[in-house]
Amino acid sequence: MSVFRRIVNSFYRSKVELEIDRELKSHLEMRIADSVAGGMSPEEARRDALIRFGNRTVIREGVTAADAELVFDALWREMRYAARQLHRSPTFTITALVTLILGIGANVIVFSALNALLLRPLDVPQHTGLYNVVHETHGYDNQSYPDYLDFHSKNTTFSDLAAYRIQSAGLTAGNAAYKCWYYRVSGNYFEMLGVQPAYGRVFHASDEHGANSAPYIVLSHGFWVSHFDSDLRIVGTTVDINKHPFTVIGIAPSGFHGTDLFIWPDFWMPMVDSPDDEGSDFLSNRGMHNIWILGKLKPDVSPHQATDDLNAIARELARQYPASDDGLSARLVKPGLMGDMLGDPARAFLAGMMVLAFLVLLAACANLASLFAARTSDRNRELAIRLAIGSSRWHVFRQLLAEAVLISVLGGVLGTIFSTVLLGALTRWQPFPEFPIHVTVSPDAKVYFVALLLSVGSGIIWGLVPVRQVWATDVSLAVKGGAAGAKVFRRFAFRDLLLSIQITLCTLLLTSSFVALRGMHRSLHAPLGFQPRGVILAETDLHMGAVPTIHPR
Amino acid sequence: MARNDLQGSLDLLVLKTLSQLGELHGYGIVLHIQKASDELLSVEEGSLYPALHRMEQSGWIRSEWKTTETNREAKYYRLTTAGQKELLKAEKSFEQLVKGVRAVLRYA
Repeated sequence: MSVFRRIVNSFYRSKVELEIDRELKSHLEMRIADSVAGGMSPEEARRDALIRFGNRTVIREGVTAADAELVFDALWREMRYAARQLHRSPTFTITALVTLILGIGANVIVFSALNALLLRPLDVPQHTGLYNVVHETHGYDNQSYPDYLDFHSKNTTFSDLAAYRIQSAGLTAGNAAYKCWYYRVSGNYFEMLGVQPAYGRVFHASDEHGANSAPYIVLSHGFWVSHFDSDLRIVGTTVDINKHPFTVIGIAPSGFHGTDLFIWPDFWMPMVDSPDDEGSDFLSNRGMHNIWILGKLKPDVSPHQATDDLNAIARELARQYPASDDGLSARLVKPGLMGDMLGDPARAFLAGMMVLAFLVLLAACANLASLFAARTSDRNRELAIRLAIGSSRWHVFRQLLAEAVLISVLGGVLGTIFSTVLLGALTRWQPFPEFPIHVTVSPDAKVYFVALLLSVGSGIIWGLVPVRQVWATDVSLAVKGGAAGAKVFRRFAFRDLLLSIQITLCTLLLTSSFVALRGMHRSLHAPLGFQPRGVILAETDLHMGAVPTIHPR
Repeated sequence: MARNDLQGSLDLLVLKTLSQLGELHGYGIVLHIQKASDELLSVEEGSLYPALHRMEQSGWIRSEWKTTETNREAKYYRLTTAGQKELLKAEKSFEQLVKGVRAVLRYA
């Protein structure tokens, strides 16, 4: 009845098969010997014996299949028994499940955010080797367009470098006018990312011939569906952007939303076009830093080599243009977080959250461990009786393991469902309605794998805490009247330890969440320096009516 | 039931044979069942070994390599305590099966 032996067998399958072969051979030989004794010729006897036997490989497979069937039978039986045991003590089951759901759920949520922000690559066809080029100083991520042109033409380590920035404008098509967020990108942008249009075409570096030479836009799929009713006739027509005519040349594919993880622009426009007056001078002004640079490394170049290459160019530029480029430096960062504007805060915030979520899981585990320990000592008598009537300790251990596995898998699945629902709400949430921001944190295979690992790990490790108790159970003592004596003291000491760990962690978590809540409360009620009552904020975009920006004197 | 009547009867025959003769190898089991049933039953040799293996893994029988009287290597099986219990159970359930079938046949 040993599952263990059978599992070992499945690793040493060939040894079992050898033994089967040996047995079948001995059978055949005896049959042949008997037949020969009965008067058959040896060849005839051999043929007869083989015919009686049928295909030996089939028999061998039959033997091993009988083996496998038994393993699954036994596992299934144990799982069913475990389910019955858990059903019989609903309070324990529910408490353990809720503990696991909270612990696993919190971790899945935080890990999903971490995955979406820091682990997942940009959602573009060719995302390997993509880096944003920012300055060495943290928090200083914008570059100037002339510097970009120099980086682009002088570097030897990137297969291509593209530039982009986000702007807003008024788009007029027929009688309708919309306020839009759009990307102004260098001509090579789509080509470098490997993005093919869903309809029409995209613009290329060859379309750019100096300022305002390429009055084309490419609509995003979402904007085309929601504002133009998926009408293909829009491709080739002219729309007005801030009262300047632009031709719609194509529709981007539906999954593509630019090169920032959480921004969903309405359309893309070549950088050399300036549908407003604030735009044109940055194309020639080396001192204006308002674009982001995205580069694609050559296949055999390391980020380190590329950084050195760019820094050499930066030093040269600093010598050449000391007024604007003094101290210019370069650093490569993971793309998609608005240069690296969101990178440092996101990393710090998520690291903090991950620690907190992990502490929640730890507290949950301590809780689980003491739950399981308590349950086992409640069942001490039952377990002792089972040991007394001939159940092996190994068998009892397997039963406890089955219960722990069942609880942890169930808790993990429920916790993941719970967090998926919450994450769905977060994904639909638009924190700032006037900005095109979607926080897409829907879990993927990586998240589910981590959830499974966490739940099975926490469930099984802590579910097996009471095993020591089982091994130490003195059957005769326990049956006579409960395990009294010296052991009780030790067990309670262990459970006290668990309890104190739990209390410590919970105090820590409660304190830190109250500090966070108070901080939030304070910043929401910070004095503004004026009386906000009765004040209404009105906003209008006069660019839409081609009114030039009014510069304060 | 489906498991009981077909696979179960082979188990029953093997267990009974071992309980009567003590220790026997697979070939001996085949011969004995054939002889004891007046040649009415013949065990299909291909299904005997998977059954023996299953019963051994279930702890009903135990095996040991030994030398036969004719100086051959053979794997000998013997019944365990669990196997004796299983035999009683199998006998009972077989008798009920026979009773049930007979009752249906006699129903008029």
